[in-house]
Amino acid sequence: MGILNRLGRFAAGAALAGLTLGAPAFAQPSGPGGPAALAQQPANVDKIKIHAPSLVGNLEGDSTEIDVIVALPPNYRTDTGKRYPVVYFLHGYFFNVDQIDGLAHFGDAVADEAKKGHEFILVAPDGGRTKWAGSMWSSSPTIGDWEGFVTKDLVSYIDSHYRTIAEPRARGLGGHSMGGYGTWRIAMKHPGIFSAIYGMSACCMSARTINAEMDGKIEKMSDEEKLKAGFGERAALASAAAWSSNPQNPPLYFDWLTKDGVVQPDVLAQWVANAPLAMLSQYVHNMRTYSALGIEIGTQDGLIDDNAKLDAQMTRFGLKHSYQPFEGGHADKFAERVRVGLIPFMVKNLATK
Amino acid sequence: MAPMRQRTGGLGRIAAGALTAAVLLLSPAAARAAAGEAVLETLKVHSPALAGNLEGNSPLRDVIVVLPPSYGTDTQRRYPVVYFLHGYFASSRQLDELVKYRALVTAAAARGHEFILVAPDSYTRFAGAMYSNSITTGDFEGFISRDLVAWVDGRYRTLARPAGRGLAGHSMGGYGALKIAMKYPGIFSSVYALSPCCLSPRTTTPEQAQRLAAMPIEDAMKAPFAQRAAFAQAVAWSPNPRNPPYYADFGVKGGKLDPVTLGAWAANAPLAMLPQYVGALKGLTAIGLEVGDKDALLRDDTAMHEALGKFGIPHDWAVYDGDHGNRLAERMRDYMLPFFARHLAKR
Repeated sequence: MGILNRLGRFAAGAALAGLTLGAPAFAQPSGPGGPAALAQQPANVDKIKIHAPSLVGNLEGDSTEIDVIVALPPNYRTDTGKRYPVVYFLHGYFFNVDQIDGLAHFGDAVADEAKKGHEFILVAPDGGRTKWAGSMWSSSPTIGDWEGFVTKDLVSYIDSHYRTIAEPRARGLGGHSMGGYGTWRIAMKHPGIFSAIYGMSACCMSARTINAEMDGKIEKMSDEEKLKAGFGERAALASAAAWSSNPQNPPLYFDWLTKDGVVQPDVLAQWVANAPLAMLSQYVHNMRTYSALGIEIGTQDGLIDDNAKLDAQMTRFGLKHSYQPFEGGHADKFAERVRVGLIPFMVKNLATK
Repeated sequence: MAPMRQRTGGLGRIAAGALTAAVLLLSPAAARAAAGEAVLETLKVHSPALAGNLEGNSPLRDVIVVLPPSYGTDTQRRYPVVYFLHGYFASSRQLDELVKYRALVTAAAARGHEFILVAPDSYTRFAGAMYSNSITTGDFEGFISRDLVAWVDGRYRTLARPAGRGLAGHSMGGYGALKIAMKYPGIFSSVYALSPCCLSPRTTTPEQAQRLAAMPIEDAMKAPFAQRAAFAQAVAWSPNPRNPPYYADFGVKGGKLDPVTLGAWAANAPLAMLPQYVGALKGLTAIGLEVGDKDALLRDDTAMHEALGKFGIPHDWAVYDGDHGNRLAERMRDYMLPFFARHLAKR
């Protein structure tokens, strides 16, 4: 599948989501889109900023103080003897955490679930305020070690500042789109931290292939044009910052897929090495350590082929998992899927004491 | 001159007699130790990480352990450990016949550097595990980084912390050393790769892949080096439990190259992996990389040297007069062990 095709479908899916949500999600060429952040958070939500040692020294100069939304069960502040399981949620590309909270209303979702007797803490870190509007939740000198941020900095901060059940069996990791991608790569590479894993409409699963036309077009852009480019182009540039870092190549500090129009196989191989479908075969033992793995994907999402491939590969490797296609596109049912997909999966699979 | 020689002979007989007496009193190992020589033990270690692999490779692995001369007498002392990973198409025992592990540790001790050398065996159905993590061959990364290290630290007086652990290897073992250093930070503190193989992504053609897939397994298991290595890499990097008898994919589906298989090969290639593991390599105390100027791997190993430089990862780099293995014992003795003497904790 060509890059134009793949990214085009990804972009089309996401753009569709923006339209469906009635928000100018991808109509702002100069910055990340999405709905406005909630003006006021409900009482059970903490909006905090934490320091991220894993991101210190990133070459882009992205902030190392990361916004985090922590949604608590309503009884958290009164029922002070109780400890809770934690669901970590990674958002998608071209969004920041406030915008995604504006869609999902994490505080309300957690409170409504608590009414049913299912109490947990939901933690959603920001991964969208990077130079290219998305960290890919990856690890590179250019963007910093976002895998380390999630698995070390964030988890240890939450466990030391909130009454959590600080064990893998009570930690879940889920994410949507780029966050679904991050969920899978982190699950593969960092076993022993989370026990339940849920990928929602995950992007970027397949090994990248070259599209000479689009990749050549991006190469010819000035740096200024790149920073203002559309969703698909900027997603590709975010991928380069995440996957083909080059500290010797300022000011952007990454290598691009083409050079003078000629494909760079070494760079392409670095991207491929970050593709979960290419990575999975060396992480089967790690994936066996999880108590639950879940995939969900909309039937009208351009990413359904890739997610079906993940389902097929997991089946081939004998990894027990759930695969849940639902009627919908890439993000049009996102808020609903948090409530009917992500949360029930975590409630079912995380330890509560 | 004749009486002199006779007399010398007499002294020699006396010395021999004394030595015999000493040997009667001491175990052979203790006698060697008393003579300043290292002691070699061959043991078996059980690796849970290898249990259940589809090739039926034994989870009970041969491990050669060489103890430094003072180990038996200096009973309170703890020692740094150098883990050494052998190359493809040889067992650890065969490599020992070539490089003489005991002589290497003895030579280092004579220079005042005492190590425990641990040389595990990773010979498999296709003559080498690639030190990779595959459900077909077994999780050899877990074998080295977890099971073996825990066993060594539990059995011997080691400096049981990263500062006391070095990881080295030759060819396939050099590849394994680099890859394990990337993927498992916090176990070893210094790494030395001799003529590492397999740094660039493996490629194939549909014809080659089809030829391999169609070969009867009895023939494959007797194939010459290069061809058998292709099987070893497929079972290590593109395992497929649904594809017996190899339990691997070879890179072709429906007559065309299969991107998932080629992707899996790239995802096991250190040059492709490197950007996402810069932090792990920068966390090491030291890295050494070397290759012979007549080695076919010169280009790939030079590319790794340049890539490390690009990412600002400090490392020693040497290109020497030699081929892939003709000076291996000498390089281990005069460069690898002195490297670890410089960088591993001594107490």
